[in-house]
Amino acid sequence: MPLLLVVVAVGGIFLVTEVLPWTLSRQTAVKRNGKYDVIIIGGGATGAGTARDCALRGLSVLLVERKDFATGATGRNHGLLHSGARYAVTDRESAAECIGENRILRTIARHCVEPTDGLFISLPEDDLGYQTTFVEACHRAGILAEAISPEEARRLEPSVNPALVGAVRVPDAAIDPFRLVSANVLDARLHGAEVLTYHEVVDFIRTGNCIEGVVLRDASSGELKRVEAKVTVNAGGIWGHLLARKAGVEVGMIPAKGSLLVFGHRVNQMVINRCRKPADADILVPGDTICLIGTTSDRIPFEDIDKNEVLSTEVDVLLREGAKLAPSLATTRILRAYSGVRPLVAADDDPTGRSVSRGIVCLDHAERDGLEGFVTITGGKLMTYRLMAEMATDLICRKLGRTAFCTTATTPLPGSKSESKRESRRGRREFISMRAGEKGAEGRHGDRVEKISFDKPTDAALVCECEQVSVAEIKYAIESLDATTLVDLKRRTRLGMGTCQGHICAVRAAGLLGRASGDSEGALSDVASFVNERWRGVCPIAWGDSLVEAQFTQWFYEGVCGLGEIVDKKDREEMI
Amino acid sequence: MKKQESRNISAGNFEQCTKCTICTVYCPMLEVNPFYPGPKQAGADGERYRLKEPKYYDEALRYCLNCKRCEVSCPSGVRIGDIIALARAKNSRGVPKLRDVLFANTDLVGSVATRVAPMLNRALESKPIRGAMDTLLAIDHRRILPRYAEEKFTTWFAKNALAEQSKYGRSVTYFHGCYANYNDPQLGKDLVKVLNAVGFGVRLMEGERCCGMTKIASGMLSQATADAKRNLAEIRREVGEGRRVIATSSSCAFALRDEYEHILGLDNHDVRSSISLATRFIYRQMERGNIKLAFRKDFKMRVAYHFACHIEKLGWSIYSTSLLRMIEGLELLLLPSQCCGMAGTYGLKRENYNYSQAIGESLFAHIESLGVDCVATDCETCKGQIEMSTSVKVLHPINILAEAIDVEATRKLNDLK
Amino acid sequence: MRYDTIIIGGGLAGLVSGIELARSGSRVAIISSGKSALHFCSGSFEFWSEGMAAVGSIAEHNPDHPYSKIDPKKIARYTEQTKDIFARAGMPLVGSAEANHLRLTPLGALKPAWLTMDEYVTFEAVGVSEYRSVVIVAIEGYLDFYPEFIAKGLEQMGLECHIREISLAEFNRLRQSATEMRAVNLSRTLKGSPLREFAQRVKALVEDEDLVLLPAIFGLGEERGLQIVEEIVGRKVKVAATVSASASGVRMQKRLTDAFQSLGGVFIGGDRVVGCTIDESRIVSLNTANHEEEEFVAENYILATGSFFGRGIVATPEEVYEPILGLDVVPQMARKEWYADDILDAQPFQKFGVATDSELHPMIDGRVVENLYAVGSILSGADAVKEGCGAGVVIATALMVAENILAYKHK
Repeated sequence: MPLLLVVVAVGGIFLVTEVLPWTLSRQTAVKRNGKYDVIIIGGGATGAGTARDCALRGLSVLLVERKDFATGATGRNHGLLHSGARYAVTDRESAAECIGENRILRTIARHCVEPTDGLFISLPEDDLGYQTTFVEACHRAGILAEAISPEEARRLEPSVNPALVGAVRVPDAAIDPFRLVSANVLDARLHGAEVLTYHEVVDFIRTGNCIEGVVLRDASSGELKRVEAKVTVNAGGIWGHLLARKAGVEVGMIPAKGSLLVFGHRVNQMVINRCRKPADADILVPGDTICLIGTTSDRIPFEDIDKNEVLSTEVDVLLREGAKLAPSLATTRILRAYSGVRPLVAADDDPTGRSVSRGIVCLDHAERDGLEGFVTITGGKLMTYRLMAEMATDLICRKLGRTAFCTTATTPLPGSKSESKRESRRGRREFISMRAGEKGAEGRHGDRVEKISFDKPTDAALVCECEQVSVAEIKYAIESLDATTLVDLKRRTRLGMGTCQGHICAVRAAGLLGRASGDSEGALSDVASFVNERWRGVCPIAWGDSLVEAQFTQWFYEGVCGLGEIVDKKDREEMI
Repeated sequence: MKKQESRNISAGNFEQCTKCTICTVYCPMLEVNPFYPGPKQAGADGERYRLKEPKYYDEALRYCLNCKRCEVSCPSGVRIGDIIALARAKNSRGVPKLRDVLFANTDLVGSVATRVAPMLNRALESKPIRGAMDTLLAIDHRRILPRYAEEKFTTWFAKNALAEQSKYGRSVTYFHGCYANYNDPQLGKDLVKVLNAVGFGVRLMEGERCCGMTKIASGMLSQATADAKRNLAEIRREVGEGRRVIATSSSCAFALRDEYEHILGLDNHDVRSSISLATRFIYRQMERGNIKLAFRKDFKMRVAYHFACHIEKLGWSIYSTSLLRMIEGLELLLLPSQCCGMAGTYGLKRENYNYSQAIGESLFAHIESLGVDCVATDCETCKGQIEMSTSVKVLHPINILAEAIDVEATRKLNDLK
Repeated sequence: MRYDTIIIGGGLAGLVSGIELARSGSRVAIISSGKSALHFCSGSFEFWSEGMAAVGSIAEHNPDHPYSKIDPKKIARYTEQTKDIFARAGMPLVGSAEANHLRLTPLGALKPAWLTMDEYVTFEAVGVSEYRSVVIVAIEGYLDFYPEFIAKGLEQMGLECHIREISLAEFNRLRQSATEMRAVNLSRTLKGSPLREFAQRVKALVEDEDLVLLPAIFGLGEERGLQIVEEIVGRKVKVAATVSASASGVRMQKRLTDAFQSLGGVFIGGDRVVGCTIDESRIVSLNTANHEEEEFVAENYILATGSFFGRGIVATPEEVYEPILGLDVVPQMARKEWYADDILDAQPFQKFGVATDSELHPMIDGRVVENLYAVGSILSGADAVKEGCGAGVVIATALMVAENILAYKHK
C-alpha cells in the first residue's frame, strides 16, 4: 500500500509546511531521435573533463558512468596537485606537464585547490646528495624548487619530522577530485551535455569496422538502452582495458593498486614528501579537514580491480613510513583506509608498476586498429586530466571535421568564476560571520554557493555535523549535481567523511533523500549500503577511537534501529 | 601488596570525540541561547575546521561560559571547554574592550578600589552611575557589582594576624585570591580563625597575583601567563618548604591546577597535587585524625549547598558537603548541580545579562522554595549572582564553619593553649 | 574515603547495582567518568531477542554467555525488581518475564523487547494491534525523527498511517541554531504554555485516527508532558523513538542518579580511576584523577565501565585490554578476526570483555580477584546487538551481584 501523505491546514491555528519540500531532479533523459556527436564512457576526471571540453566546443555530448562520478582512481588517490617535482628526476616530460597543469588548475579550479605548497624533506637515512640532483631536475622542468634549511622547514611546517637534514620547497598543493569532477560535469551540462550515472556499457553497437554507439544497462531498473554516437570515447581508467576488449581492440594496461590512510584532522598544512626516489608512503597531503598518507604500490590481477581491499600489511607500512614524515601521525586517530587502481599503460616488466611512465596515451583506434568511431584516452594522472581531455577532444574534433579550439585552460569551472568570500580580503569578516553550513558550502562549491538557498530557516540546519553539510547543500546536490544516493551525496558534499564516518548523518540524509524521492524503502537500503561503504574503509584500522565509533555505529543502526531486519542483505552492498 | 597504575587512554585529545552529543545536553548556555553553537560544534567539530583554516572560527564561541560542564559529562574524556577557550584566545580579533581589561585586571582595580571603597560602593549602588557604566562600559545597569572592602585582607592580616602565625607548629599557605582580598576579607579572616583554632599557622605569599581566570576568560593569555608564572614560582617556594597551598575560591584552585597547564601550557605537575581547596584540606586533616573540631552547642542553620561549576570540574564538592555535614546543628540540603549563569565576570557584561539570568532562573526559584537560612558555595561569583537574584544570603562553607565552631573547645581538642 | 561498596561506572549497570545496595543500607559510592550510554536509550530494554522462553537454555548452547551464570529461575524476580526501581524513579515500565513485546524503532522496524517505558508505542505481536489508524506528527525542520520510515513499519502492522507536520514558535527559536534542534532541547521547550499550545496544534491535526504518535520529546521541560498532551488531545497519544541523545535516556540517567543519591549513595562524577592497590587477590584501594592521593577503600568493588564505548575495554592494533585494573580480557585473537564484512552482521568484537568466574569475579593473569565483580557490558561473551541482550545482561548481572554482596554481608 503506498504511503498516504496528507497535508491539512486549518486556517491560522497552526502552520503546516510542505511535506515534500522539493522534488528529486530527474536524470537527463537519453536524447531522442538522432545521434550524439560523442559518447564518453567513464565519469572520472578524464571523462568529465572530456565531456566538458567537447561541450564547450559545441559538440552534442552524452557522458555515461556505470556508478557515480569519481568512483575509480580519480577519487582514490592523494588529491595532490603535483608541482611535478616528484617526477622531475625520473620523468621530465611528466614533470613539465604537471607544472603546466598545476598553474592552470589553480586558476580554473580555484575552489577545488588549496594552495598549500609542499616540502621534499631529507631524513638522516636519506642521501642528501639526491637533493642537489632533485633541485636541478626541477629547474630543468620549469618547477620552482628552493632548498631551505631544516630550521626554516620546521618553522613553515611544525608537524614535520624534526630530525630532517634538508628540505626543498615546491609549489605542490591539494586538490579535491570530487569537486573537480563535479564542476566539470556541471559545466558540461550547462553547455548542453547530457549525463547518465549508474548506467553501464554492456555492449557496443558495431557496424562493420565502426563503433556507432553503446548499449547501456540502467543499474536501478535493469533496463537496456541503445544510444548512438559518431564517436565513442573510452575514458574508463583501468576498466578501459576491459571496455576496449569489448569493442574488439587491445589496450594493454597494468593495474597497480595503491592504498592510503585518512587521518582525523589536518596534522600538516603543507604537503610533505620524501626527497628520494619515489617509494611507499612518502607523500602526506593535507586535504580539506583531514590529511592522508600514501601510497603503497602493488600489481594486482584484473579480477581484483573492483575489490578496493586494503591489507593490514599495507596499513602497517603506511603508518610506519608516515610517522617518518610527521611523527604525530603515530598518535593521530585514523578515520579509514582506501585503495585505488592506477591505470598504467603497459610499457615494461617492472612488477611494482612504478617506473612505468604515467604518460598520456590517446589512441585513435581507426589509425591503430582499423576500428572507426572509437577513441581511448588513458594513462596520465589526475593532474593532467584537462590536458588529456584536450588531446582527446582535439582528436574527436579532427574525426568529426570540426575546428573549434580548446578553451578549458582559460575558462574557469563553475565555482571558480570569481574570488570567494573566504579567499578575498574584503570578504573575510563576512565569511567569519556566516553560519557553519554556509561556510562549509562556500568552501566546497566556491561561487556556486549563490545557487544554494539558505532562505528558509530549516535550510541552515546541519545534516552532517562533522563536515558542516547543511540541508540546503544536500538539496542543492540532489537538484543540481546528479546525486541520487547517500554515497553520491558524500562525494558531492563530504557528507559522512568526517570523524563519525556517517554515524549521525546517514539516517538524517536518508530522511531527506527519502522525502525527495518518495521512496522510503530505497532510502533505507541506501542507509545500509552507505554505512557499509563507510565500514569497509574503517575495518582495516578499527582499533582505538575508531573501534569505539564503530561499536557505537553498529549498536545504533542494528541494535537500536534494526536496520538489518529492514534491508535485505543483497541490498546492503548495492550502489557503493 | 602491589600498587599499580592504570593503563589509561591518553587524555584530552579532541579526536576521542565519538560525536555522541552528550555534551550538548549539559551545556547551560545552549539551553537559553540558540546562537551559541554548543560544545560539540564549538569544540571538537569546529576544531577540525579551524585546523583547516582559522577563518572557520565562529565568533559565537564568545558565548561559552567556560563552566566545563561539557567536560564533566563527556564519556570520552575530551577537554571540550579547553578546546573552546584556546580557540577563542587564538582567533578572536580586535583589541579587548576597556571593560574587559578592567574586569581582567582584578589586582590593579582592586588595589585602587579598596582605597576609595566607601565612596565607590555608594557610587556603584547609584542608578545614574550604573546607567553611565552601562552606556560607557557595557556593564549591565541591572547588575549589582560586588562591594569593595575598606581594608584589604592582606592589610588586615599584616596588622592583626601575621605576628602570631609562627607560634603554630604546622602551617599552610593561603592563596586568598582577589575576591577575599579586595571584596570579602571576612572569608580570609574566617579561614585564619578556623585554621588557627586547629593548630595551623597561615602564611601568605607576598608575590601572589591574580590566578588569571578572568584574563583567560577574556582571552588575554599573555597577561595571564605572566601572572601564572609568578604565582607558580611563589607556590614552588612554599611547596619546597613543605607547605600546601590552599584557596577558598574553587575557580582560583581550578585555574592554578588545571588551566595553567591546559590553557596556558605551563608545566605545573610538580606542585599541582599540593594545591588544594580550603574545605578539602580541612576535611582530609580531620579524616586522618590530624585535627579535631568542636562546635557551638547553640548553632542551628539550614543550608542549601550550590555546586559551582569549577568545583564540579575539580570533583571536590564532596569535601565541602562532607565538612558541612559534620557540623552539629546544621541541616544540609543539596541543590541540583547546575550553573547559576554568572561564570566569573561573564554575567557582568551587558550583552550576557539576559542569558546569565535565564540560565540561573530555575536555580533561583528552587532556592527560594526551600526556605533555607543561607546557601553555601565555594565560588565567590556564584555568591554574587545568587544574592542578587534571590532573597537568600550566600556564605562560603568556611564562613559557616567559622561561625559554627567553638574556638576555645576546638583549641583544647587540638592540644593548643 | 571508606564505603561498603565502590562501583566504577555510572551507567545503567552501576546505577542499578548501586540503588539495590544503597536501598539495603550499604554505604555505596559510584565513580563515573562522564555520562553513560543510557543517554541513547530508545525507551526499551531487551533481554533476549529469540524470546524469553529460550533464556533457560542459553547456558547449554552458549556456556560463555553471562546469562549462563544467572539462575533462570530468578529472571521473573529480576524483572519485577527492575520495574520497581524504575517505577520508584518515576518512569514506569511495561513488559514481562514471560514474553517479549514489539517495540517500534526509529527506522520503522519492529523489534522484540523485554521492558518498555509506558509512553512508547508497543505491540503484542506482528499483526496484533489495538489501533486502526495513526497520525504521525512530524516537527518542521527536526532532522532526528523519520515519520515516513515509521509509517512503513506501522503499515506492516495493518495500520493506516497519516503523516502531518507541525511547527511551534518556540521551536523556531531553537531552529536559529544549525545543530541544536535535538530531542533534548525540544523536550526542554515543552513546558507551560508552549506545551499546551503544542497539544492544541496536535489536537487540530487529528481526524478520526485512534492513535497519535509523536516523537519522544517529553519529560524534561515538564515531567508530565505527555500526559498533559494526551489530556488536551483527547486521544491515545504515544511516542516513538528519535535518534541521538534521547529525552527519555537523559531523564533516565537523571532519575536513576537522583534515586541513588536519595538513598544515601555518593555519586562522584567526571572523575577517573587512575590506580589501585592490590594485595594478593583483593583490591585494597583505588585512586582517582581528581582525588589524587585520597584513597577510596571498600569491602567490595564493582566494575561497570562498559564495553569499548564506555572505555571499559580498549583496543590497540595488537590487543584488547582492560585499562583500569589490567583484568584478563577474552577472547584474544588476531585483529582481522575481530570484524565481519557487513556492519549489520554479528561483529565478533561485540563479544569482547573481561573473563569472570561463575560469580562474576574477574581475573588478573588467570587469578580471581575476590572482592571485585564485573557487571554489564564489560562482560565477555554477549553480543548485545545481535542477541538483543544489552540491557538484559546489564540489569541481570547488576542485580545478581548486588544480591550476592548483600547475602554475603548478612552471613
